[in-house]
Amino acid sequence: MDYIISGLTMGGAYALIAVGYTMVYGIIGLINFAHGEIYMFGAYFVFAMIVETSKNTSFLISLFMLVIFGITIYLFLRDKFSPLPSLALSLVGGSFLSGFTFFLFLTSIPFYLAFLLSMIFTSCLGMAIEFIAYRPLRDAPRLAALITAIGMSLILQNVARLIWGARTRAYPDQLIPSIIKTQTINGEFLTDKLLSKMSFFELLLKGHKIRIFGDTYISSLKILIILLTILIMIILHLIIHKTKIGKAMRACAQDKVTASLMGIDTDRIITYTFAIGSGMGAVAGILNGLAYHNLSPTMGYKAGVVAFAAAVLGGIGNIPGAMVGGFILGLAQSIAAWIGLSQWIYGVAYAVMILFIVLRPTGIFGKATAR
Amino acid sequence: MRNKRWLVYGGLGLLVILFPFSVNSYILDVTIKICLYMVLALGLNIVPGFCGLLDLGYVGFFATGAYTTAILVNRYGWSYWWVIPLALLSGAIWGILLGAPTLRLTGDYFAIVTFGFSELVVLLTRNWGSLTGGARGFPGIKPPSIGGYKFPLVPPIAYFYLIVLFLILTIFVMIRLSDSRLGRAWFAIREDEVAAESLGINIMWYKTIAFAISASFGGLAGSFYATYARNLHWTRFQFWESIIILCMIVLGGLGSIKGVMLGATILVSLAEFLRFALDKLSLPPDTRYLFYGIIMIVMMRFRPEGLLGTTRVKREMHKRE
Repeated sequence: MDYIISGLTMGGAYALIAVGYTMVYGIIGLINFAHGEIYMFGAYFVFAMIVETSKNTSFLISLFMLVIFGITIYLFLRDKFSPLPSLALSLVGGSFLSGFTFFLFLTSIPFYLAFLLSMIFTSCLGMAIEFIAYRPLRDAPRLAALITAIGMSLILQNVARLIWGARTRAYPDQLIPSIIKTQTINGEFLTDKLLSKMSFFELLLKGHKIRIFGDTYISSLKILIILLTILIMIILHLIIHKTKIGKAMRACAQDKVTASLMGIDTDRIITYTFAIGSGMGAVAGILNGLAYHNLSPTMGYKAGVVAFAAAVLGGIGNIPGAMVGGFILGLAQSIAAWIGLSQWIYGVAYAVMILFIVLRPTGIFGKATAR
Repeated sequence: MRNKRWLVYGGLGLLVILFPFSVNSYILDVTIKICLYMVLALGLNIVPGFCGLLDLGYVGFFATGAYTTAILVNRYGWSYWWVIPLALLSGAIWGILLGAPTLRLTGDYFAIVTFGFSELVVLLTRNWGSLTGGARGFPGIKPPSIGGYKFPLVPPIAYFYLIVLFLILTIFVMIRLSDSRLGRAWFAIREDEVAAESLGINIMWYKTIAFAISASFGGLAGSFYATYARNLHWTRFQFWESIIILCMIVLGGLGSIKGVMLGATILVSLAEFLRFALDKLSLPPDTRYLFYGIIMIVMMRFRPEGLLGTTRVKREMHKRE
């Protein structure tokens, strides 16, 4: 039971990342190798905001944010003004915003606020990456775009290493709201008597471990993570199927040229796709940071590969498929851990991925088009 | 004219023979590294450079070659000279096994499968303790010997000659390949797959051959690395190693033999320089990958054909689809 729950938790994170991969692949046909790094940055931004970061480190992060905000603002202003004024404006706006973030990083802010801001920051990061790295090469040979994507992934990973160092970090316990803490309050274990007095939701909100049956407890955090993942996916589904942007996205995924003939600004839609995918990657990163107390510059690369495997499993370009694939791989990994193959959990993901690519490259629900 | 050419070759040969006696063992070590990476990069170059496919798992073949050598030499007491052809063969076999089912897919999937393969190799070397020494690594690989003469590690003069021999072999094969029927078929595939197929080129066959040849050079380099380093550790064969080799090719020029050799020289020297520089700045040594990332992006954006790119690749990389 424990393994199933943690499998679902991991699976939720993978699913959220996999959706980012699959959306980008569906729309521009590129494996965005840097997506795992965006997930990592999502987790680290929250870390930097909820703890009191030193002046030097805050300055470094803000410098990085200056670049990101500057590019993002430029990206949006470019259509409305001529290049020079928009460059000047984005420089001013970027410095203003990153100056503001300097104080956010320097001080300690509440967790929920950090969560939201981190999503916004990573969305900007995603849009900026698309604009500076992928857009110039959109019509270039595949090889060039793939190499650029790998280069971007390397750069981001090492920027994180420069800022936060190579060692593993964890969110400090006392700064996380008690609802989403893993531990029981004051380390006190619940007796049956106490449990019988509280309702399920009361327990959920109090941040305790919830007894399912016998000796099996689930931490409320994990349940919340799973619920949150499902909620986000429902929202995403609504965005894609009910809004105008979503409609435009689907049109671009089907045929970019025709979509642009119908008056859709494809560049703008691609930007939005990156923003949404990156925001969801950030959520996955933060949830993972909460559940496993484990932040490192290489976390994005590891999770990114598994998430990519999930995207392949679900049929790349297929959003519900990516979600299901994520959960399946999460479960497969925790089952592998359960039967004593904990050293091999990543191997399971790689093996599943290779088998699927070789035997059924369209994934479990794949469209008939073999690539 | 012909005499002159032999004179140049003779002069170069003399330089190579005298070189190890004129430098200290640090420079010699770096030179050996450069030669090793040249072999690796030239081998990898076949796949992205000649065929236009991205291979992200090249280091997997490097690892299989290295571990094959280590196990056969130490556990079974084989002579190193007998292991070399086997290391070549092991690379080729793995290349065919992996390539045959995956090469019919588009480049992206191929890239991912090769990546998965190399990571599986790393996991195997780390976790299969009884065979590979596991997480502790594989220590004490016996040096090769000729007659009774064992290759000394300090100074590594004999190793230098060995790797130069391998390098010459590799360069020779590469030059012959790129002019051969095989090479021309690869270029045709890279430039336009559909057109190539309609001209009667069996794409799958030529791609698999390319991948197998590339993999066997990885195996060759691995077998040299095993005897030269004398101990193997799984961390040495992680994904990033493939990326460094790829970066050499991108920097020097995809598909250009001279360019790839230049790229290997520049990047190995850069790595040596950064090792000191980052240490002085007390930054983590892994941050050097930042520079590799920047090199890759800048090259792809502004000079996708590389420093010494061939005109053929240049035309192609600047072509818009």
